[in-house]
Amino acid sequence: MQISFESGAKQDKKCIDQVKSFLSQIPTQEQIDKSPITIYQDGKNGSYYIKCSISASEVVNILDLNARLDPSSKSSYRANRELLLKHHTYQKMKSDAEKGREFHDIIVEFSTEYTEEKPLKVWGGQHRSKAIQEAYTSNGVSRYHGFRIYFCLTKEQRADLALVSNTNISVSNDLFDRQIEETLIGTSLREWCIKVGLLNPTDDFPDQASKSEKISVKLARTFIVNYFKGKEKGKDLKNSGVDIGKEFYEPYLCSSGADIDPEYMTIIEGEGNKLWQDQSLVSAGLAFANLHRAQRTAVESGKKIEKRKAFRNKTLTASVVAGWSYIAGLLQYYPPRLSNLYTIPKPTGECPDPLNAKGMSTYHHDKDERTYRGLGTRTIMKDRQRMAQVFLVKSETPDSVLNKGLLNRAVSQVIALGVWKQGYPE
Amino acid sequence: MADFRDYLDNAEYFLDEAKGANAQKLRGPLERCIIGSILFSWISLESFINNMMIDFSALPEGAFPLPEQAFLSEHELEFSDSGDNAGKFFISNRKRYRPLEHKILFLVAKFGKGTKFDKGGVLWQKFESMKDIRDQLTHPRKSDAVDLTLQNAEDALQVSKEIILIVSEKVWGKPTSL
Repeated sequence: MQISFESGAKQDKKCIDQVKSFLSQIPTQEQIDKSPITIYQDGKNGSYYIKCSISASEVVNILDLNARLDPSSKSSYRANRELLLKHHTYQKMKSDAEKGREFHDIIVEFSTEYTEEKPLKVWGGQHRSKAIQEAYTSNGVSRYHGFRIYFCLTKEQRADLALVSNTNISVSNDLFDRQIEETLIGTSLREWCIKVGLLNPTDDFPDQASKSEKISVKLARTFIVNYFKGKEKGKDLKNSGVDIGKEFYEPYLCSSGADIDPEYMTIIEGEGNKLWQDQSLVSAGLAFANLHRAQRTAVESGKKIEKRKAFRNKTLTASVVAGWSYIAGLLQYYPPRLSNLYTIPKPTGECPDPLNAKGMSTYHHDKDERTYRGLGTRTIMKDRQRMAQVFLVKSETPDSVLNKGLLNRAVSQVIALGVWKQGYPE
Repeated sequence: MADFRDYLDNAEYFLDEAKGANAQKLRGPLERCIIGSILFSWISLESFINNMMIDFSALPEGAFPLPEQAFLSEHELEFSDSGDNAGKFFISNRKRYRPLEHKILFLVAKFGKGTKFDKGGVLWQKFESMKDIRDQLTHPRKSDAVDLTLQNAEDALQVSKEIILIVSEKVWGKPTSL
């Protein structure tokens, strides 16, 4: 069978050997027709691929929907999003497949490095692949489907392929974050979250945080970045003797999507592997996970608060994560206050849950628009500042609860500090 | 607890009711609604100004000179003539409520980046007039019987709104939404 490189592709022996290996194992329409096979090379990332058609009867048992970004690591993140089998689009896809619809441009990688019995790792078109499998196994429908098959991918090429193949409006930034985290940094963030109790041992970061009740890559990064930002600020204030109550704090929110957040990357590069062993950071993570558990328990079992998802997961809102971790970092130089921050407030009639989620949701300052949705609900700087101040005020005494008085005082301070720091005529 | 916007909404509600009563020449309901509207307008302005004072008084000790801190927290500034603090001024626990106009003048003068409230202007004159009516309503005396008109209620609502907008712009850098 004639196999040749496309004119713009650089010849590569290893690649051609892999293509031959693939063709010897899996029958294609091109082999039956004795058509030549062309090896293309991606002009951007240099990866090699061929285009071919394979019948459903041949392909259903060799498609692997659990492709890994790092084939050598068993703890590798699952790269693809969860299948949405009840989604109407998938139902239509499945129905079409059962009626004989052919699908094209399904993106797979030929690899026998893991799950050898399923060498076609699906990177793009996992729902179409599932529909093909279902149509064949339940109705015996077998048509020829078009595949783009990649060979000899490097880790970077694989991550790029995963991103490009998933670039459509329904793919969340959380999935991008998860893929990029593993490609560029590894599994340390996930392992750290498991260590402190923010993820269960078998958990992965969610591919769509808004529908999940777990911490996302973005929020975990935000926690790490703010801890270090707060710690740096605390050190400066301690050294210069400035009262921490007279400062204006600006917790950071990590960006999400195809590019890794620059502040997070700076910390990763600056701290290296010792970052994940930092005992103070681990203690902060443990304390935060403890707060999250207490909040969930209070809402799930409480009688004085509605069992709403937003209340249950109040700890995992961006402004709470950013504000709390910033103050945890800041107070590293103020041990008694750090201890106060880490203390879970005891339930009271006014605050049945540690974060007083209902009280926060109805909070409103005169400066806020009528449409303001309450404390700790949005991600903008104003809300992150307010949450940081709430936790700073909480740290003043060991037994403080986040009641209306405390929330009022904290927000008053943020607003007054904003004016005060800008200066005014004496 | 209601905020200044809730009180403004109430003032507007009573003003609308007063207009309806006026159209139907219902004297009793008209006067009741005018009084309600004027008082709610005043309460709205006072609520806004008091809460802004509370914001600044929440700052840590030392953020402002002692007399200003006492003013903001509405407590007495006293002189200690005994004990460890003998010879020093301190803020006592005794409340000292300040007139609303003083608080407005202070906030604008202190945080308005060099600007002052124009006491000779039409707005301030209308504010003074609103204050007189409010005082007569809340401290009624037969010698001070006030003849209320719809215009009094309209002016009170307008004055409250305008002062809230001016003070919020001077202090926060942009007018608040009403």
